Amino acid sequence: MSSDVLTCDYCGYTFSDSRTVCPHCAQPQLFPNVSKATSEKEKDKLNSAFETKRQQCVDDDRGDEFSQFYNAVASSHALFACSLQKLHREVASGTEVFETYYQIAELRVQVTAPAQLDWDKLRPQAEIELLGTHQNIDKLHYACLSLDWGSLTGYGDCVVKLKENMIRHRASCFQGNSAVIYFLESTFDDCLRSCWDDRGKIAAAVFANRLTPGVPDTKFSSLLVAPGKESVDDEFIEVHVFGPMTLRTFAAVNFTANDAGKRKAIYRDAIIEKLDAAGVTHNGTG
Amino acid sequence: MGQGDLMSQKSFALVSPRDQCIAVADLTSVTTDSDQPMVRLGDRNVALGDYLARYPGAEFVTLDENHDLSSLLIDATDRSCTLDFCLMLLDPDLSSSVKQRAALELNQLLLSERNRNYALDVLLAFPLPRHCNFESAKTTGNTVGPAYELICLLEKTRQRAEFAFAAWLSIRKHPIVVQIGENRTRAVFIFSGFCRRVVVDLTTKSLVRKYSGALILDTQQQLNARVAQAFLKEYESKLPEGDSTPSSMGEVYAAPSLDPRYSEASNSSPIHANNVIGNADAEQERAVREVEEIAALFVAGKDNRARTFRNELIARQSSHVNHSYLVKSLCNIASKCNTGGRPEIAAECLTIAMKYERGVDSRVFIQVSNLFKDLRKYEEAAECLNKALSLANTLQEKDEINRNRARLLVSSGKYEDARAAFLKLSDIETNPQSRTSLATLLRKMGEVSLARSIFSDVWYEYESSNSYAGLAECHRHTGRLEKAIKKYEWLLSERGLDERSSKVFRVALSSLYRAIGNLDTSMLLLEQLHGEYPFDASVQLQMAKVLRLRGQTERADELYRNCIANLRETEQIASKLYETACMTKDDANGPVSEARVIFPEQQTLFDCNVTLRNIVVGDLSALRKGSLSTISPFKLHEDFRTVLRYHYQILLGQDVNPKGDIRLNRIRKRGLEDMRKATIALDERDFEAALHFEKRTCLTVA
Repeated sequence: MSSDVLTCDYCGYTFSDSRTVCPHCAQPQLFPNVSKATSEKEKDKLNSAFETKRQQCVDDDRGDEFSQFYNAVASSHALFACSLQKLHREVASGTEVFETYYQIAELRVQVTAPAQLDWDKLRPQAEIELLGTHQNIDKLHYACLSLDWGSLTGYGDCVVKLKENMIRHRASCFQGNSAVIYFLESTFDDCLRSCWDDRGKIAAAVFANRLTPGVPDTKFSSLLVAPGKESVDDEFIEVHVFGPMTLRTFAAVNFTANDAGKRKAIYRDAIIEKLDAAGVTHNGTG
Repeated sequence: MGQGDLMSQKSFALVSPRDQCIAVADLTSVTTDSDQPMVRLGDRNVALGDYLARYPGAEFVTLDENHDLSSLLIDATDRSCTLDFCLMLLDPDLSSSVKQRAALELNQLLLSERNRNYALDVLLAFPLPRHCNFESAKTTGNTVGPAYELICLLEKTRQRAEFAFAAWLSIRKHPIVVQIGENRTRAVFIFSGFCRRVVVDLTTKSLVRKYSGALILDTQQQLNARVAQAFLKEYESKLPEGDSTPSSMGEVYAAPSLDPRYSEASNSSPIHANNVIGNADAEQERAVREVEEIAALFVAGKDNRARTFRNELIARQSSHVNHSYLVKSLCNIASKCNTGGRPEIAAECLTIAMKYERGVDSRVFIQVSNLFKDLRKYEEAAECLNKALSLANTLQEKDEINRNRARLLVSSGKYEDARAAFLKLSDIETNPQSRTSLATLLRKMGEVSLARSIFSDVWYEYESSNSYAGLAECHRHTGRLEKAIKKYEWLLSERGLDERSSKVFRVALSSLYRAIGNLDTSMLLLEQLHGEYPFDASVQLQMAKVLRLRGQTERADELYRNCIANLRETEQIASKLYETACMTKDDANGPVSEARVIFPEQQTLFDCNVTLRNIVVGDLSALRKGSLSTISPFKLHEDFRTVLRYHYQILLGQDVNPKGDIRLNRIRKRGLEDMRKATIALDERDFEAALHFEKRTCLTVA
């Protein structure tokens, strides 16, 4: 974990880049994940890796595919998948009634079924390593880059596309599942990260080896998001969105399963009503 | 021990009841590390004890044919859905069609008391936003269903929920809260049901003052008592004055019992669950009024009219999809009739209640069982516990049932069986109630040092008043009456006690003052108690004893007759019968034989009495017929028991252990004056005098 120094544009004093506001003048709203990703060191690492991979592809006669893939991902969007219940709380949180629920949720005893990895332990550890401090734990939302509706399958039946203008300034990209990488490597020194605008670069640098000569652009989507057998085997570019989200942050929602249960139908219809009221497109029938 | 026993179970799951997530483990997931069961969570091994201590709401569930994993998952999901659907009803942005469907589902979910309590635990812990639409929630929901009742309750308690939240904000920097952890304390406040009970039940300052002790006692296993007190103080400061005692409230903490151990069982009152859920809504309030009226009619002897009203109540409440309300109403009538001197009507009501089982959960059956126990109908009580056990889902519930079963065995006089039952409880090493109950039993069985050790542990670990009272009782048992008095006085002056514990401790204190010869102080205490509880048996009995010692035999006999005619078994009544037994030959129809039937718990004491009588009258043939058990009664002072055994053996010409003389000499040299006199008198075959002195120090103690 490292801590770099930022200089406040408003007051001119320096402070740690793990801060969300300048501690001297409280200006402006900052996003530590973006600050980290846009540090000179990370930028150099990303550019270096990008150039190396690009050169390798050019040497292997895959230069065009590399450029096409880079350009495609540069206009990709962020998706996350979740269960109906979780989405319901996300969309309902804007109503304030559910703000109470969120407060309670923080108190809940969170015990998950034993999985291959202990996410409850790894996730905060990885976040401390990512953000340089424990102060911003639990403030990140996780999504993945995608070119269509292709998403990771293990997280639920609702796929949510995020509005770019609501996340661009606070999103950063990472070269895979940060918790899994932390579990394997215990450090992110060799990992690539980028700001939102450089998402094409990081994806091209990470997945360049998958680009075969003559690969059609229709295959790019499956190259960018490759669900594994288990969630730990998923390959993707992780998007970190700092701060809260409501349904106003959503661009569209795709329900991938037809739920037969009465309760699920209630959840789904409640979500749809909320989405309709907020003008969020979806594939459900209200 | 308890946790070790769990190892032999086939498989189990650790359930976080407040969430839909469940940690599952089978036998292969449990490892032992230094004899401590470990649970594997992810890639970590967590000590089971640590886990349960850290997450007080977590449940440890054995999986068998009745409880498989999928049903547990469904239970947990149900709770989550209950909360979500409640919030949907209050959401002003949702259409009425969605709300109607949510209300229908909610009506089903709320049939489970656990779901309902969970939703209330959560929703009453935080102030709801101002724009919550209660009217819409009530009109779109089913207007007679549990969802409607819940919404009414939320609306009615809304302001108090805000007070409770403000009280929490005031105490969250309390040093103990900081030490325990703010989030954890908050979680315990909410999920132990403390917040819910405070907000629903404690509506005025006077109610807070009256019941805060009982509430703290109920939850002190999970909640730090000082933090709870600080919270209630803040909460009280925001409430209006007034004395709008919920009619059912007094019952919750006022079941008669002299044994401090049982004051811990107050949350098992049949009214309790009714209180939590029902007070808010008008129909429930009406039902409570009806229950009071019916009970009052029975107590007044207007049985026909009372039965007519009772049948109307049954007809109305039995049409409800859940019979819990009806069973609780009948329990309330039974409880009031029992305390009002109509035990036969109480038994009748309970028998009727047993016919209605739809939707009745294990907790209600436990409550019915406790009432049967109060009526000394032990078989029926045991049957209720069997039913409760068949409905129990979790280890905690099973433990509670088994704890009640052990207490039932104590009441039945089966001490050894009761001890075995206590030791089988999985929480016997961690639950202060179980440990205190076991220690009380051990004290009764004469294993005072072991009992004292357990009471001490519980006291230092949990600061439970009952464990401290248990220590006082141990002192009493070993003749250190002044120490016992000091302990009781400290409890009464320094601890926030509930009404019932306060009464029990004051009665105990008065008997101690009597035992040391301070009759004035004893009488003063008893007069105060008599003013507060004019019909209380334990108070009357103690008064009778003091009056007799003062020579006011006429008034004393009147009180004795009242006690014996009206009331349930107590050790004090048994000691009165002891006096009778000493002067009466035991035969099939004699008072001792009758007493054996009525008071099985006092069996050994009666056996001892018969032995004593035989010694007194020198009836060697009768003495020889007595079993060996008659010379080791649990309830006697061990010194007295030694002397008794010595003379028993001498009288029968048996070999006497030469070391016995050494012990007798030691006994003669030490101890209280009365005890010494009793021993010397017994040595001198002055049995009447021995009994006189022994009675002062021992039998009043027993």
